Amino acid sequence: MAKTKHIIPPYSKLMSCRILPVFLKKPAEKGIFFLKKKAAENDEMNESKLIPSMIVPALYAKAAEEGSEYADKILAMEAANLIAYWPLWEAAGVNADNYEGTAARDGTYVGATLGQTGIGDGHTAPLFDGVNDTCEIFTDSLSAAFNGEEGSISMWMRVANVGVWTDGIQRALTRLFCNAGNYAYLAKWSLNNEVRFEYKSGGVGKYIKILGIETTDWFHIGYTWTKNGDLVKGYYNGSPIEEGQSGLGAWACGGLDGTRTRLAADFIDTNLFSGYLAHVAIWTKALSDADMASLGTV
Amino acid sequence: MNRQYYGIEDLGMVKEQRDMLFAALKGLGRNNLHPKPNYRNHWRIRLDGKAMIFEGDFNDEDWTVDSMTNWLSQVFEVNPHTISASLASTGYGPTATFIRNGAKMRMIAFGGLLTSWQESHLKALAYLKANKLEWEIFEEL
Repeated sequence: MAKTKHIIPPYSKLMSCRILPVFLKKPAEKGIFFLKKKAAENDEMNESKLIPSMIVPALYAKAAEEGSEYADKILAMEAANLIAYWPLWEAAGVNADNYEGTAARDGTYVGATLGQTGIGDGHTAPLFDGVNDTCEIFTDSLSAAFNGEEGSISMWMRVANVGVWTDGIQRALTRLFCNAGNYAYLAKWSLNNEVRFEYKSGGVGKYIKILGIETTDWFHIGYTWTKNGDLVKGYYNGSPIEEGQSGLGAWACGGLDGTRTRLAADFIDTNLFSGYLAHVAIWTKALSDADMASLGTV
Repeated sequence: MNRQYYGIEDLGMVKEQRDMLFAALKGLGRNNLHPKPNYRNHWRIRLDGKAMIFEGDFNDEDWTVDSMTNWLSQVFEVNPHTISASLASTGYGPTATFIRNGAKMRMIAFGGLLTSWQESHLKALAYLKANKLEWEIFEEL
């Protein structure tokens, strides 16, 4: 079942609007639903009589409860090409909400410790223990929406402790895996202090490294690929890591593989990440440098 | 009740026995509807499919040799008196090897039976790091 998108601008922008923006989606609808319910209880009230001054505070309260300005930024960025966005800010439960709005692309937490300190957007993030925690994100809906030829991934990561950087284990952040010759992969690498992005299409692998990372703080990583533009690029805290790589192969894939498409793990039970992840989003378009720069700041 | 990590290793079972054991292990745990996912029993399986590490909420008495022997006898529908066990200590925690017509299975309580989750977690991580070739995939790019 499709959910509507959760697009809502900051309160200050809402207050400056004389007419409610037409793109208000889920939080707005929830607020309206509440008021509709009230209206149903009182025959004198109907939707046509609702005025923005009544609705806006309800919207803002709902947005404050559910969203954040950072989430709004993701939702507003190339919205037509955003296919999944897991903020990972749940405090309980096994459902990892796809905040993009398509319920069929919700993820499932397995073992993660929810409710840990987040990136600074007022929300929490999950800790993955590096032993047996993951978040399953494969769904038929995601597989159908994913575009191996054009796309982007954005996420925030933080290792559990400084020792993770030198533990010699390749720890997956996410792999969108079709087959051995076609996938997009982000991992804390087995070599010290390194994160790698790999995009493989038609058996041709292109990979980009971030070297010398020692931080135990949150940082942002992004990755884009475009067959039309013949370019893959990686980003660290919003900045391009290098010029990018060209010579991409032809993506040949019948759909994502459910056993290897997940967060914080690879394959079924291997290469589990030891640390925190937040705000994982996937687009079917290569975002611009400016977009990634924006995503690299809270 | 204590949340910690345990490991099981097949030492001489046939596949059908191992599958039966792993399926039974996945059903263990005393808090599998807990709102926090980390309290629910969850697991990973070694690359060769012959060992499993799981984490969940358990009572310490669930993992004594006697209770394990009784549990195994029920899983495999054998007389518990035909199962014996030998205990050992490792740097990762105490182990118990269960024997019936030869060693069949080894169990480890990471960090020990009365340890904290943090200690158990550290021991499980250390074990995995020391045995990474058996548990992790390494790619050369």
